[in-house]
Amino acid sequence: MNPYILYFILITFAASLFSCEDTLEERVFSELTPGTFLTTENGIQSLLNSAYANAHLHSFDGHVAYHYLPAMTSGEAWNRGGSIEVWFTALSDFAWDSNHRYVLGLWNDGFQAIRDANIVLDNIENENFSTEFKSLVTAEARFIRGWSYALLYNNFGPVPLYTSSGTDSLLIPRASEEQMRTFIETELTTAAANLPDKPSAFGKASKGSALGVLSKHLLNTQQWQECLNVTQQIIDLGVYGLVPEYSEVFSLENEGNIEMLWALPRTAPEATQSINALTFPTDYPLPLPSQNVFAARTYLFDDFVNSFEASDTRTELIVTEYVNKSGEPIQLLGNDQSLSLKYEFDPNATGAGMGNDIPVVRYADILLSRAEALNEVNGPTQEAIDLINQVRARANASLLSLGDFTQESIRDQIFQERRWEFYLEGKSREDQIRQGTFISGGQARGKNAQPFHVRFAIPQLDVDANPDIEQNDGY
Amino acid sequence: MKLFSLPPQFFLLAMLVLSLFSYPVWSQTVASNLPLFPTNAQQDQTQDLATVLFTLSEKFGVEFNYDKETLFHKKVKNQLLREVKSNNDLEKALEHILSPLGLNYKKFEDNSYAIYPRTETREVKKVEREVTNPGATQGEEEESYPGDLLTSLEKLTNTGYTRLVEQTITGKVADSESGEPLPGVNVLGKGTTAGTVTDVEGNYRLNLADEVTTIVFSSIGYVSQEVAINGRSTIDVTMTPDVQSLSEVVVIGYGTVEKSDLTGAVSSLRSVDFNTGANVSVDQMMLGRAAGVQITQTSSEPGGGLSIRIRGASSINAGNEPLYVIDGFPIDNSTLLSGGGAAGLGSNQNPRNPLNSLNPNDIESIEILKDASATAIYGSRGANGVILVTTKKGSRGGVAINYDFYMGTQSVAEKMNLLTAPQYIEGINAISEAMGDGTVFTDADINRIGNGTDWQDQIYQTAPLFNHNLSASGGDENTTFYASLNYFDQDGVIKNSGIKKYIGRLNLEQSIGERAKVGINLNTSLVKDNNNVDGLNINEAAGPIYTALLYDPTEPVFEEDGTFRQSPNLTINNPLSLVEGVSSENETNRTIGNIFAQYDITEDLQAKINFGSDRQTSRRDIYNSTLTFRGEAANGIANISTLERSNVLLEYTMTYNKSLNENHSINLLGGVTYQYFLSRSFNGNITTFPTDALGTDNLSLGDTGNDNLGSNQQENTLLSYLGRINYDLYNKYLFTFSMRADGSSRFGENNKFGYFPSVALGWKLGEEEFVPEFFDDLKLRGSWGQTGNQEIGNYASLLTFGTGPLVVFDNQVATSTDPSRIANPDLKWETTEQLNVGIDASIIDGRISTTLDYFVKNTKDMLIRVPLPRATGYNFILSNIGEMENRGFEFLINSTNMITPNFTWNTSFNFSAIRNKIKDLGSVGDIVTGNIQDVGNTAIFREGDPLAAYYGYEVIGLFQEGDNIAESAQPNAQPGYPIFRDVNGDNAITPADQVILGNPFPDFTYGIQNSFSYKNFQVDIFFQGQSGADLLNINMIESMYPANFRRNRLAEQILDRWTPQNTDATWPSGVNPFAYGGGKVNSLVLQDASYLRLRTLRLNYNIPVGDVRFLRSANVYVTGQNLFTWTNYNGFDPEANSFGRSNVRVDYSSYPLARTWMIGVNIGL
Repeated sequence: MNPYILYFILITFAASLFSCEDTLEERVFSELTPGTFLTTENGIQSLLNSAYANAHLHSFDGHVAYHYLPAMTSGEAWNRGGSIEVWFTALSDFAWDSNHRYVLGLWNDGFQAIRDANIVLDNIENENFSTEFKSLVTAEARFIRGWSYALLYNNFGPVPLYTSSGTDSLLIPRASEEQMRTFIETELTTAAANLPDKPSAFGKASKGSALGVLSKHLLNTQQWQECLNVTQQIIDLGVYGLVPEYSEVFSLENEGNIEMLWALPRTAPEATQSINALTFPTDYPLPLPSQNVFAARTYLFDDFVNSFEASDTRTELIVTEYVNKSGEPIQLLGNDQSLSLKYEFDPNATGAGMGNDIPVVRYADILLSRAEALNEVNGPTQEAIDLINQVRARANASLLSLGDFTQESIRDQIFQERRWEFYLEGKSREDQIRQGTFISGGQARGKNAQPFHVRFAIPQLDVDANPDIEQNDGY
Repeated sequence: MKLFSLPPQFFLLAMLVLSLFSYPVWSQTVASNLPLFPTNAQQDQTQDLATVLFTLSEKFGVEFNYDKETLFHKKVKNQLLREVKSNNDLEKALEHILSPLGLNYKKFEDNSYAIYPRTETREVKKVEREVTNPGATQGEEEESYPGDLLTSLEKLTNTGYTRLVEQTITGKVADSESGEPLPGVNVLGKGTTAGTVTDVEGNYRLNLADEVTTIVFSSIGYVSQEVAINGRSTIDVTMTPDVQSLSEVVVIGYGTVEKSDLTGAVSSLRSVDFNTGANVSVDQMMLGRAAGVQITQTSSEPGGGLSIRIRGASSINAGNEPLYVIDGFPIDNSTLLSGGGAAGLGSNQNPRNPLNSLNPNDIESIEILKDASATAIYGSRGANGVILVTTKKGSRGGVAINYDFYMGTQSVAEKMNLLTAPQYIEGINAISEAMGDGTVFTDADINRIGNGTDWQDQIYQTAPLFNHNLSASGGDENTTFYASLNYFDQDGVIKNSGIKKYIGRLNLEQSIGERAKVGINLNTSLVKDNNNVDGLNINEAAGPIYTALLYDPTEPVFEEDGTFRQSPNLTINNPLSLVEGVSSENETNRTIGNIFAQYDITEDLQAKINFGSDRQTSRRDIYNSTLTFRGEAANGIANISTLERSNVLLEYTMTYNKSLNENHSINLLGGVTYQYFLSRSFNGNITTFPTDALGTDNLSLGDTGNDNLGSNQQENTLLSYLGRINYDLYNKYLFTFSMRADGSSRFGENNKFGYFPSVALGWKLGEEEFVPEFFDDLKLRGSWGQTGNQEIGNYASLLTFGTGPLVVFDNQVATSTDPSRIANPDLKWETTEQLNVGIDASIIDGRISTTLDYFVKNTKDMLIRVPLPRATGYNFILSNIGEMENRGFEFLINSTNMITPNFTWNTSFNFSAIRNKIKDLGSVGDIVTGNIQDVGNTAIFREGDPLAAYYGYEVIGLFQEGDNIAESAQPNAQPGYPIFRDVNGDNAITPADQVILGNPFPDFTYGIQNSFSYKNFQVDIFFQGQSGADLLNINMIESMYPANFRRNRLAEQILDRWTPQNTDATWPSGVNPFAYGGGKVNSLVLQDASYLRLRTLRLNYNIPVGDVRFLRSANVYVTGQNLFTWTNYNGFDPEANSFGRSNVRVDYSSYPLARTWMIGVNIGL
């Protein structure tokens, strides 16, 4: 036989041995494909869980940002030690730039929550889903978008507004102030209308969560009257109140208490926060041998610790001295090194992570926010003084009388009250910005604070990847 | 009279050696009356011509003279043999047998015949060279007998043969490198035709006329030698391998080719070219040996990872490692288990080398395919080059047994220069005072502390290593085998690290009839790793190296009660507590095997089926005991991970090989291959044990409320069609065309198949009349082709959902699911186009030879993780974008500098210079990458610059007292702070002021080997190095920006720091370093990683074993590895990369380089 012919026959034969293109189909085993996964209620719920986790700022960088961006930039606290110091020093010194790790952490968690919520909303119209399921999940997903955009807006100003999971236009410019505010307010208002008065589980969104976040957004954007309306709705819900003792607001056994409208829930040992680990020194005698801390420490200034009335129970959660592991007494107060023990050491925790929830909107904040809005709209009123006094009474601080105050001094009193009530709760930066002392305060501390610092820089990764995005002024 | 005897098996062995060199073989035996051809021969379909001639010579008592190559691969059909009657008509039989094979014979004397091809010009020239070389009258002979085989044979035959035999010389010939006996060496009385070849044990016996004074030893692949007899009757000789041997056969994709016919750029390494010493893996054997092939030991841990770049880095985000093909089987070389799971170790980017499962002693040769002509046949896996590993095969004729043993000791080559305790105390006190915090150490403290602790010494050890290797090989006419067993045991220079390997191999080939052959190559291994636990982890999660470099030297190792001392000032673990408190062990079983069957359909057409399977299972056990912070916090953490990875290959190829006439020959290859890869993993961890005693042996002892499980399964498939044409015109012009169509499951629905063509031309200038005789060989090569890259992992084109973050509802943890990526249905191959021109030349009888290549390699449609705005919720989308170029020049020179009977000196030098440049990144712009925790990004991909160039802030000096700091770009600075260059002149230091600080790629790399041989002694010295590369040492950053004030620092940074008294210091003041501004990645910490290393030094002595009957050979040797490194780099090793195989290179708590001394013995039986 002619070898060429034989060659041809054999090669053809061989080729036919191998079945063709369908061999190259990709079979997916350990991951889920949209077609099967997002068409079930369980699938949607599982994706919504991810949206919640991101909305809870689950990542290390996300929750550290939530806690420390305000604490360090406002001069509420100062920090030493740990490789984290390079980031915190930049914050204290008003020397942060668009490559700041924790600014990016906040940005990432916020937008991943929005991504997940968008996918949920784009797949919720399915005839197999019950009406109740669709209604609740839609409201939850819209709350998550509203909360996340409000958080981002608070820190960055208007950001790109992604409202669907489509991937056709990934590079979009920043929204206008108007679009941004309208979107946040619409999402939270709509969510509030459809969410239950009490969440199905603590950590999920309720009517109070949506209204609480909305009221803070309205306050920060100085929409006083709207803020009054929303805070009234919250009070009218009749769900929330003040916990009798200040320390019990944060205690582990009291998590999900009547004061919490919205919090970042944590539990040990798996889903933890690291605030104590970034606060306490290495020689601090931790209650359990299985617990430890990082090299970083966070200190309160003496001026602040000494500013409380002697009777104020809110100082109970400030450590001013301790006996270290070697048995030596360490004096903190007097050295600007007092420590906040707002989050007790969690007996279930091991290592550096603790299971304490991080409060975001609590009822005391609603009361003081309402007082602030009232004062801005109506000037000094007994109602505003009563609201402040509710908070002071719980802390066993002396009560205020209307007669002692002008509109201006009430305003100052409220900001001072907020410092005492919410120290190291992530409120100081936005409060100072409203008060107009954020930049001047930084300058007074000898820092190079400039007016543009009221907004953080859009992360450089986004500036590089998106030609349509405009960096904030000054960066 | 029996002049000498030659066993028939040996004849066959000689036939197997491919050769262009040749030598005549003489044979005479007593005639016998046995049947001409044994009856059992009829069961076979052919016999080797050599065997037939041997039988005839015995039968008729004659001798045959022939050029060895003349008989090569010549077979006689039994049908023909049956027609040869035992009628004593020798010449008729010869005519009958030789004619169909294109051979003639001529009778010289009564009992002597010459066999030669009818027309053959090529061999004539070679023969002439070989035959005439030894003669003192070389020129004269060349003139007298210009290239006529017959005449030269006649001359030889007529001058020497009929002389009387008056002296008998016996002896043994061995390889000077290995000391192994050399069979088949041609031994010839100089100026005579009297000769013989050595037997399987290297022995020869030669009868010579009295007046012959010199013996010539020659063998393919070895430098010929002349030895004066000087009245001796026993002469033992060692032969030096000749790397320049023109007869080399080079393995290429799906075939072999003679080196002289090669059109592509291929580096070919033989055993003589391999690195000597303790090689854990095959790739270590070739480190520094091949031009254009940069092999870096990215971790010096025993069995640690290596990274190979063949002609530069050709991809940004897809793999950059070459494809490994072992005996025709492309293996899966992806990394093994690396994660630390929940045991608090995090991920080590430098997992163990997957090639550890091969036994380096089994390797016969390594071919590195570099240009597209060579690699395009591997299509979508060829872009990073291809490494073909050929293992040893058995030879016909007896059984040879070889045993090799060595043992050695290793120590840390270079410690990091840290502050001693007194230096530390002084520095800490001074800086603390400068910060206004007062002194830390009182005089009483200083007296108490004394010399403190050298933490490096605490974790280092002098570590032993052992290797036993036993092999047997041999065969008969139908069967050949090679079998080996290897045991290798190496401890690391860091305590509690090391590797043990047990490897067995069997290579077997069996002829079935005259046309068919089947074979099996089987390698099975057990590798036990004791892993060092350092990686990129920091602080509490870091390992012993990291902590030893940072631990307070004033602290003791132990408390008075014998427990580990834990500094109250530090949150990192006591380094020794990590060594003793963490166990991390891997056990990997891997079996690689392939079975092939080939069948000669016609004389020219061959079909081959190859079925391969590569199966490995690996299990990693980690236990983090209560001696460490994490372990204590969790009451012990146990983690077990398993990985099963397998692939199967089914491959069918056909080759057609035909000389159409004397001017045209053609070789065709066609084939189809299918390969399926599967990987499955399981991971379980649990904490809270009542005791550390059982480690990972009983997980259910832990708290089952605190456990975690995970599993994963993935597969991918390749389906390919391939073809190649080689065409040889006038034996001067060589053409190669190849094509592979490759389908991969990994690519988008719209782009499953890619097509990879190549063409190459070779011009054997040496064969041209106009080229001066000065050149023994001269060839021009040129090639162009396209190859692909599919190393992007699975499912990259699909939208899928995977495990999301944990969420807390009602104080309970719930799981979630989130999208894994953005889908890209258009995802396709990355295509690398390469142009290559090269020259091969040799002069002075091949004593100096060189290979030069210039190439331009362009990667298009690069698989890039295009960064997305994080606002999309995704980090990147994998896309085909952009273009990158590698352009380079490489050469290899081999030279035999001196050659005398007792002394030879060979030098081999390789050099390559490669420039890498990103030409285009599409609309992406810059991509900043290489993130290190709390350091940030370290590198950038930017158009016009090399890949992964170091990116950061340039320090242009230090602020001095009196400088106008307030008006500067760093108004917060203090005297002694670094001055960062304000690149854009906006009087502020911002990320816009970052610049490219350096290049991770060397300007050039080189290796120099010198081998000296004097009588039975041999010395090999190998130097290797690189120039012009930079390396970012993160430990320098850790020291410059200590995360905790009480951590230790590099001595130079404190001893030469800025103080008001030391104003021209190199290093800044160390006072509040986090307020320096700028960034941690800066020009102060980036270092020049140029180095020159004495990588191996070996002294070998061949023990004469002439009179010891049971010994074939014996030699002893001493080897030193990594003896000296000349470098300005401040770190353990300028080659290290803590990112493993990544193009982004950083050195972070790398495993220290070991200096090793070994002694060994090699015995042949």
